[in-house]
Amino acid sequence: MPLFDDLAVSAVVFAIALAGMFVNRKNLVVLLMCIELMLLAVNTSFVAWSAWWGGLSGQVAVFFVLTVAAAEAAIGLALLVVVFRNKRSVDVDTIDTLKG
Amino acid sequence: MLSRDIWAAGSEILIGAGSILVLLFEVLARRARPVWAYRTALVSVAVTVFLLAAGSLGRSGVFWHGGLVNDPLSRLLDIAAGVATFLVLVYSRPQLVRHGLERAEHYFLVLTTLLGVLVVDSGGSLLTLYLGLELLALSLYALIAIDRRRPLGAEAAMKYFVLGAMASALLLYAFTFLYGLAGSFRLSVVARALAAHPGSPLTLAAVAFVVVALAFKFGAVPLHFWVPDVYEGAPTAVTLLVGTVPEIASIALFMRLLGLGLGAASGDWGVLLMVASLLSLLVGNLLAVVQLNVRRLLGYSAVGHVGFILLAFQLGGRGGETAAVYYTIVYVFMSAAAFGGLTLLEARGEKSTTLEDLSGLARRDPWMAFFLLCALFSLAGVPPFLGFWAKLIVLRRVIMAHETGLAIFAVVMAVVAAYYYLRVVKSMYFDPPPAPGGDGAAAAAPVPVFSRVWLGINALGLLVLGILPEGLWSACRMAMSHLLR
Amino acid sequence: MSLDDLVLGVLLLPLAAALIAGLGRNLVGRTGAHVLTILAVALAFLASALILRRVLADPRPHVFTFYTWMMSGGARFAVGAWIDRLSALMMVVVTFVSLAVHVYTIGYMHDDPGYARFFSYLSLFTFAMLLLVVANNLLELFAGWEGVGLVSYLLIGFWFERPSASRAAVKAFLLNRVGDLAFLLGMAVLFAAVHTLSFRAIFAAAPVLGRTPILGGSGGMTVATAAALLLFVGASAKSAQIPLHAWLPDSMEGPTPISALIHAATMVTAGIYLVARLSPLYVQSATALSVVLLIGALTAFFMGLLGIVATDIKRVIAYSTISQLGYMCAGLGAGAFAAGIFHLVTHAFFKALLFLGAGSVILAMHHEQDMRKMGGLRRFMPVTYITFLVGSFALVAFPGFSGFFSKDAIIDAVGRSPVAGASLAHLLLLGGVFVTALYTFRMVFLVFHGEPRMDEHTRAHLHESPLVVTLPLVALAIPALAAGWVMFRPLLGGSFFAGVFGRLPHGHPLGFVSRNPHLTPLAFVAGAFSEPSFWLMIAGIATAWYGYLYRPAFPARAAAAFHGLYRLFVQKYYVDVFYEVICARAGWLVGRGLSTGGDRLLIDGGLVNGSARLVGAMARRLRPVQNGRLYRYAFVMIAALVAVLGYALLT
Repeated sequence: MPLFDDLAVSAVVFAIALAGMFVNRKNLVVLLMCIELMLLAVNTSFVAWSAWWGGLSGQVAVFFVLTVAAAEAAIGLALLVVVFRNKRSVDVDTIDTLKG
Repeated sequence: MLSRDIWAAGSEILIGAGSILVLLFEVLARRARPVWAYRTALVSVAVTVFLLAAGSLGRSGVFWHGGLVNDPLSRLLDIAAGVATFLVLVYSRPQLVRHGLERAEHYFLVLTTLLGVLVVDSGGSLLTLYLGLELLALSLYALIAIDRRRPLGAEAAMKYFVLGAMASALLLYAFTFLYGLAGSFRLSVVARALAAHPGSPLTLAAVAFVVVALAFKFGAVPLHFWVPDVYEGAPTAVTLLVGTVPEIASIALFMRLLGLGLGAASGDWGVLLMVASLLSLLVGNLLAVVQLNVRRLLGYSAVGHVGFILLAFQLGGRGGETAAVYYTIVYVFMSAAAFGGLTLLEARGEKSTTLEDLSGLARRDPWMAFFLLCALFSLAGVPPFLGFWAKLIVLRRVIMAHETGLAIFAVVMAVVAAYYYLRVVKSMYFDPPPAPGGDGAAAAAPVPVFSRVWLGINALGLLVLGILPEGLWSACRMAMSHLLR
Repeated sequence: MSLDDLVLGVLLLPLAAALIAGLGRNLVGRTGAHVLTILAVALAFLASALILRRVLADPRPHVFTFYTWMMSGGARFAVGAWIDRLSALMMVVVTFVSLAVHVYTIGYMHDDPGYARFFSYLSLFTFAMLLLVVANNLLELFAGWEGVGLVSYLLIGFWFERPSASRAAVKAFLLNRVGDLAFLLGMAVLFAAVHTLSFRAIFAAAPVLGRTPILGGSGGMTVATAAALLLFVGASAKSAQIPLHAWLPDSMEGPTPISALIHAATMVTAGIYLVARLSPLYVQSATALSVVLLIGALTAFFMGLLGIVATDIKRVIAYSTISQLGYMCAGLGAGAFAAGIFHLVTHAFFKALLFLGAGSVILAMHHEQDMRKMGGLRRFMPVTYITFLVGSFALVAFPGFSGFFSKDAIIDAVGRSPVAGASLAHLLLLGGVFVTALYTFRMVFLVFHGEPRMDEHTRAHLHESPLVVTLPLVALAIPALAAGWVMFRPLLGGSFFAGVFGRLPHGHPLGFVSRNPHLTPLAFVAGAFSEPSFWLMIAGIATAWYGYLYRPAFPARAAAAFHGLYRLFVQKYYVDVFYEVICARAGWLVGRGLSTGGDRLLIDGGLVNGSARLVGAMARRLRPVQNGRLYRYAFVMIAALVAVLGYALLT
């Protein structure tokens, strides 16, 4: 059952990424990596379904997702730089001024 | 075929062209003053709204295999988003100029935000919806951090970015399930597939992921954490944008994805939305009460308003959805007037951060205080104002669905909301002005008449439309009775 | 221009002028304020005249809808217009009097710091009154009704720094509130029965309503009676009928142009207009008509009596207004709707004239209003004197003057009316003729004849008022003199109001004249000399002459001889005392009881402060959840996702 296996891989990767979002309490860069990982899982899932349906649209979607992911990564890194300039740190713990 | 149908995307094309033009100013004519970028943005938005209202942008229908839908709803939401963007541009410029933040890229990002909203409004396929949403979200992340010297902005943008990207990923993951179920991205095909497999685990998983992602985009509890932080952290001119235009995209997303795409599973998402709605009403309004920062207060109050919108939406039927769309549009214009007032106050050289900053405003600038009063009364749902009708229509729908308990809860929370809105009014009208500080008092400068007049139209419009409520309401009903997918 | 454009113009011009003059008064200034408002009202008057000409050509009612205000449960609430000869005639009267008052105000308020504000209120009032008149449903009429009430409140209290003015304003507001409550209940009764408030539907349903018992019971009161009586309570508050009349004399605290416009010519006639407008409903209820008739007749007689003892010139005219409104009410109650409206029109002219004349006198007397300190003014103010005399003759219904035609038509119609109580009402109205003549000429003699009694300083500065004051006087004197001759045949001869009013089962709604369609005004005048009302009027004038010119000591002796009666009149039948001591005190006691017992302990202590504390406590608990940490936020999101997934997959 290749479809099931593919989907299972995708789900596991996605779950790892999700866990990384809150287990990691240190580095903002890891958060960005987790986001990329989630999109990777999504792409795996798209390709698996596309193969199962025998159509191409799922695989085309992957290209869109990749493009958006690139833009997202660019903005994420840019924000990281801005945060670092302001706080002199990329610790998750240091950005808690806004609260309450 | 393409050459004729290209005008189905007329509004998107016009705004896209406008944004590219604005960007060209930045790239090619660095020395040109940014006011030209502002004017270009203003004109392209105005022209788009005018052509949309005149009905001359493409015929109704579904185009490009569901990639784009032109129906009365998309037109109504496009117009609302366009008008809101116009107001945002008009209100924000004086503040940007005063604080030395006016750059062409700001206007470019405002236009791409609008473009994202327009794409979502008329999205007929999962892919279009996702792309529109990302365009919108990425523009907002950049805008929130656009003032690089402002640590709060960077922090808010970072938080919003991480959580927003996560929500987008959740949404996308749900899309893979829906694609797996239907074999197509087209909403009509998805809807058919869902109706054919009621209650399959794949459907339920998709519903769960979609509800969480959409609740995040709208800022419903417990996915609201970004809202107050962004409202407080972003530069005022950007908070003005965040609090208005994207709400249109959120309701469009709800309508297209949940209402039209996943309508068959409304039993499953209805309960989830009801819980989110109740939590939003409770948490949003309660936490707004203890805020001293006006923008943070309005952020929590936005969460409370989302509670009202979801309360109507979770009823499932077309009636509830119409009420939700109406409420959202009304909310956007109330919010525009409130944040517009705060933004223009900053343009005057005053601070508008805390309640104390606003005290005695009625004596310093009676007109501005009056406009803010209109906006706040409307937000609180005081009778002659438009906000009252929005609440009334939602409550009537809820009562008609025999959910009286929910209606009573919503009314109680509306009373709590009235308390904190009126507290702002009290501070403006009855508290003595703050002691003249070293820098604040002397720097008061006049606000351009153009912006003030538009704020006046916006604020008094809330009153006039409240006295004559039928027009907007019947426009919403009309739009919702001819939906396409 | 099409008819609906004209109507919109008539409505919106005064509104726009009021808004500009009021909100932008720093922008337009004093001159701008009066030029703008007068222009708007003049245009509205012209448009009203055009509308009247149109409906003269085409008598069917023209019904428009301008805007659907809201839909609620299948019921449609709209803003529209119902233009027939009744509303068109009212529009002309309202805009004409309003125009005269606007012009007059330039002179009268010349030195007042609230000049622009005053003009803004005047125009706003004109708008509200016109809205009331053109309404095509009860809700819209109520909007205008409340509008005139509000502006009246603002204008009575215009000189709000005077405590008596703000007290009078509050009094007017409260008594009108009683009427408004009844009005709302009346609307509710009609809405419950007809499911809409549009006149068309109410008129169509009226015969059925006249047979339907209220509350679904059998026998007892019909829906028509209940609605008509409740609405009449509203009307009697606005039109100052017993027992809700007490606010009108006090409203004289406002500036005189206001007394002329609102408290004589227009607003107080709103109640009369309401009953006439709803005449198809009223004719379905014999009970309601009797009540209207008797209340009107009682008011006409007993309120006139109070005019005899009042010493303030404006108060005398105020009591005469109440009394004349009583005549109109009696006419309506007798089923003679046309005669009632006829009197409304003529009264608008001569009463506005009298008020403006009184204002001219007050201006010359340096704001002295006590008639005991006047006298002999006719030598100093000839124009004011002559026009005032014209108004007085019209008021006492001297044959040939406008008031004569309408008042005698009412008296005659009441004498012949089939409505129960008509004979008693007839007697009261005849007595009222004597009383009217007595107090009117008492006023004329005290003010204009005899020896001057004012102090030297005032006397040295006596002079005729400026042209902007005398011009409206002359303009109003012409219709006060001539309107009867022109309007007698069409209004009472039957053709003008054909189809406008409801008809009584027995008897003709238009009064007696239509029984003799060939009666000319001249023959009517000639016939009057053999009627008792003429001789009663002459007797009244003679008494006034005897008491106030020939034997000035007589009134004091009479007052001493009938001491009890005199005190009763001076104390205004103790109605104010009743309201103040009984109603207000009882209300105050109940209120204090509720305030300490219910409000402060239960509501404030328990509910308000208690719930506020609860809200605060809950919010403080919730607040730390938002601790600013990203991983907390992400964790809650993912927890929500897991919970939602679990819920979705497990159920």
